[in-house]
Amino acid sequence: MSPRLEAVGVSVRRGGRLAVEDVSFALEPGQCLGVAGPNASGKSSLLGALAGSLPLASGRVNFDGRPIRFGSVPAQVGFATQEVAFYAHLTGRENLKLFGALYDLTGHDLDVRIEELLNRLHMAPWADKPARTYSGGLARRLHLALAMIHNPTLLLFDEPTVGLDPQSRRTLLQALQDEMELGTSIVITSQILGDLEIVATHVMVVRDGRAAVLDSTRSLMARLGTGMIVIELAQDRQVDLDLKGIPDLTSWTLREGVLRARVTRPHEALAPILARLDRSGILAARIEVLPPTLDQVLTELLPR
Amino acid sequence: MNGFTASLRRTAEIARHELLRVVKSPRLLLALYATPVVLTLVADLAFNWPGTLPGRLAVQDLDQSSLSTTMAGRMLKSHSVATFRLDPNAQPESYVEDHPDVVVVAFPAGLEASTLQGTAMNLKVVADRRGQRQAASALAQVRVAAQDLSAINTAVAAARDSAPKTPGAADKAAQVALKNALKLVPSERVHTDVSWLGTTPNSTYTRLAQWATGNGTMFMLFAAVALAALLAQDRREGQLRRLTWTRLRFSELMVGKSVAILLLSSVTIVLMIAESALFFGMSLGPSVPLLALIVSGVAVAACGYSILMLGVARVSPAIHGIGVTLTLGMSAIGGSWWPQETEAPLLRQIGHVTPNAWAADAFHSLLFFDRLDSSVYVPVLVLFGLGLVQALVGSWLFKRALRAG
Repeated sequence: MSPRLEAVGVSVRRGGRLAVEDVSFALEPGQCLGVAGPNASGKSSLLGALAGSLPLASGRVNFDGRPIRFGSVPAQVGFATQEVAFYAHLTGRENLKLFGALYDLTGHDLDVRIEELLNRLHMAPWADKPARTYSGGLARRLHLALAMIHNPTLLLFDEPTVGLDPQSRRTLLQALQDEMELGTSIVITSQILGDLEIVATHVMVVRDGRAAVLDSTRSLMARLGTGMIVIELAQDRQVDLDLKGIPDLTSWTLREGVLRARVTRPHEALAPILARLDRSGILAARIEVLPPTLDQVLTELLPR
Repeated sequence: MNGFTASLRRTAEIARHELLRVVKSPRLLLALYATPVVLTLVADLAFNWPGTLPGRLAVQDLDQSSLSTTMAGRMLKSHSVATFRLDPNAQPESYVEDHPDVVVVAFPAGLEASTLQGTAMNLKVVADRRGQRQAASALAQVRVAAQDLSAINTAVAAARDSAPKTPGAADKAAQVALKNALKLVPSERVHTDVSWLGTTPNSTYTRLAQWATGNGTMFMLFAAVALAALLAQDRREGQLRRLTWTRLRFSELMVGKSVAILLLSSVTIVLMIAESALFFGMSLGPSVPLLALIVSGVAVAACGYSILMLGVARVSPAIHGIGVTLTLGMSAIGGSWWPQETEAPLLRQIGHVTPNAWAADAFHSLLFFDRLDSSVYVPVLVLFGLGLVQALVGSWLFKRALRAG
């Protein structure tokens, strides 16, 4: 069986240069690919090419085994660019109704879907207000809701959490996780790695148009295999501390009364570290064991 | 839902959205329709100001002779203009200053004596430029009186010439000639015999109909330009691209938008014609359905023009700039501002590259000449063709622009 979305050797030319170069991946139903990378690295161009709104310089993109052609976004794809686009003179509900009708949804089915999206994206109180009055976060949620109105099996979202407050971000990420549970595949670009960490089953880091890193999120985390032990010391005075020889400890710093120790196996390393503190007569006020973040992982993996 | 029904539904949805967008927006309604409606009212009032005086002729006899009394009497009995006698002591200039609709003709003192001596004396006429429109009938009467006086003067001079060269004979002959001439002149007046070629315009050949149809065409094109600018704004803000990511096909998008442009631009000329017809008595010609057909032809041409603008100029400011300039130029040479019939032949030929000229041809044939034949249908067909070709070229250009982002 063919994957939901398959990119093979995709290259995209924009403004006379290759914005995306030889990118390949496959995405199964219910999976989410998070595409990260600095500004102008080719994330949006890749997404445009996957949606069929940008022409391919080479390679191919298949959706459910069928090639995506330039100029025609398949009806089962929900595509939302970084720039919000809807009719500001219509209300949120009217926008959803219009776009739903253009996806051939009518009557009860459309009404049910509209209510579902309004509730899931916490937009119901503003549904009947003109969209021109919406705040930035609300406007973005409407923008994304329009891409989801027809129950697509593939969502392509470019920087969907830009400009969202933490609450709206959580709401949106939860909505995406819900979609994934229903079997929807998702490709999202983001510069906020914390967001990708929550929803992405796979992560691709794009640099200069190339996929510098591409792996499942779990395997990426495992690949670095580090964690952080943070201990806030009870006393603020200068202390002499020697942590040499502790197994699993890769590096450590002690600044302004906070000890930060990077370790390969946090739980195994915690006891010897506390023992050394005790031996030096130092009391710990607060102890925190942190798993590795995607940010840390990518910082380690990517060459500077 | 089969494919065709679904396609029709999507097209209708786009048309409905576009129509409601304008109908629900007081600003857009004002922008599209306020100017033509208000200007039509102003123009119609200017052409048909209620209570406008028809023009009057005041006759002042300063000679009080038999010649002046007879001539003034004839003028005062004129049927084609309201007349009255002006007191000999009144100042014609100050009287006309106060009454610009009045033309004063004064028979000067010494008129008869001068005529008897065989020397012509001019009639003094005072008219105000403000009353020029009303002065035509009065001045026509004055010209007739001047011709009569010239004839009398010639008769008297001829009698003096042919009289014996004895003392008093010439004066006596002049007296007899004057008396006879005063009796004969009106019956011997020479008339012009003009042969008019072509069809006689009917009574609706008025400035009002020229205004409503000519400027109506122009305002339809303006509306089309404004709607094209609105679509260009949608494109810039990404809504149009987004629409094409749905099941909506590009052709459905363009047809839906075109239907809206067609209807919204038609409203302009319909309002102008209705306003002129209902409140100012403009005739709708011998066939209202045919008038509606002409309006549809112009609407199709305006719609094509709108889409061509969208494809060529692409962004709102450019569409406004190019569209307004082009529309004004086309209206000038295409007979929207004045009847094409009054233009030089070469300009008329050039004008026929514009929809305005074909629209004017059709409107004039129907409304001014009561024609129900090919002189109406051919221009309408050309308008349909012109609109279709422009729409196809504009759509092709616009599709390229939309795909390029």
